[in-house]
Amino acid sequence: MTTPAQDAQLLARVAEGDHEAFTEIMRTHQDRVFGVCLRILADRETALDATQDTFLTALRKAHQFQGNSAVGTWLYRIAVNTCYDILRRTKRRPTESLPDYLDFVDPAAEDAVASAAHRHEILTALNNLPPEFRAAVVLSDIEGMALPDVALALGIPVGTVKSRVFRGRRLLALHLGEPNS
Amino acid sequence: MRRHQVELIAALAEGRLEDESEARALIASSPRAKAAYEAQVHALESLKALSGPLEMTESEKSAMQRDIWTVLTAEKSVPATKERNPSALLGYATAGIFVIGGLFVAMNLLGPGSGATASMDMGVRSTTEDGAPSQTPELSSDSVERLSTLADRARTGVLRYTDEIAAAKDDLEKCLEDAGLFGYKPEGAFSDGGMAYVLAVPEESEIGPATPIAMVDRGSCSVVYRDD
Repeated sequence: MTTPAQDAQLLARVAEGDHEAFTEIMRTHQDRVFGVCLRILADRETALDATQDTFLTALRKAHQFQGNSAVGTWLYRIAVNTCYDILRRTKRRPTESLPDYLDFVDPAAEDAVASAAHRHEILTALNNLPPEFRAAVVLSDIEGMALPDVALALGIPVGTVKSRVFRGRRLLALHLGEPNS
Repeated sequence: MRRHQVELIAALAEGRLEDESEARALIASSPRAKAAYEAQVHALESLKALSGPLEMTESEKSAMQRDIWTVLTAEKSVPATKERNPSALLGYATAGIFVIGGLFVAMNLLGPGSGATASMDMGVRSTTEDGAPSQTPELSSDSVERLSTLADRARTGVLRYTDEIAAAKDDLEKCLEDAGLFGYKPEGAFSDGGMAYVLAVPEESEIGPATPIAMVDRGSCSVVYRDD
């Protein structure tokens, strides 16, 4: 792992054409970028495409990085915008099939969510959220990012993030129904 | 609900409040606030099931890295007259790799001599009549640019030396010797535009993004491209 300062140095080198620096940045951030894309797009292949497009965009725009946020946050912003573009282009509807990544189970959450069917239900509910709400909920509640970082990643004010997260959770709960039903 | 109330309820659900009395009083006094709080808690509890890292497989990572360099190299090799669609570029590049791969297999089957005709067709000078190492032929700027692009592709893993051409290694080494390219080893061989080339790197080097590359015309065994 690299520190934010090291990331910024690496990106400066990328802007000067250093391919090894870019490889290092990819190595550090690719899984998290992929995770965000997968959770927003709910399709592994599409998420892989979005991850690739994210890094291509980052490489092309490295010289535009101002250092106003961490490189990771900047990459999230590119990733989220890339996912929005894909959703717009394909007008993707919420997935009804069981996504591949349902194989992943967080052991700590196994008690709370007893079955794969329940996880599928949660994913379906998440995918039914409007993309803007979904992105805010994914970054805040699944990725665990602080609200100011989510604001930077989404390019919106913190107050708007709070509102989207709140409303997103409320819609999610609505889709899921009663807690013990 | 007012903004302050919304933030209070969200903070209570997230467990961020040091003093929960105001928030507790709110949800105790308002059924709407209580329902909103329960929805927040329900959503947060449910989302825990989805937390944790999602990782790409090693093969997905390798493929992504390879594809990115392929796109970038393809972009370098096309005129910048209009914006290109990266997916289309990837398609062109992938198609090119298959063509090059196919030609390479054909060249292996035909042997090194088969490239001689091709090099003559292109006008590249062949080995001298007295058998001395040939001189680097004069190439057009377009050809040099093309070879430079191919060198980039080789550096980024698209044109790798593989065991499939191990059988031809002796021939390739001899071709480098004939070209007077000492201190280099054959990294692979490939064909492009009807020409067959040996790809060479310094003996102590493994091919990578910064490795100097030389290319030798396989027919004439003359150096046609060199980075350094």
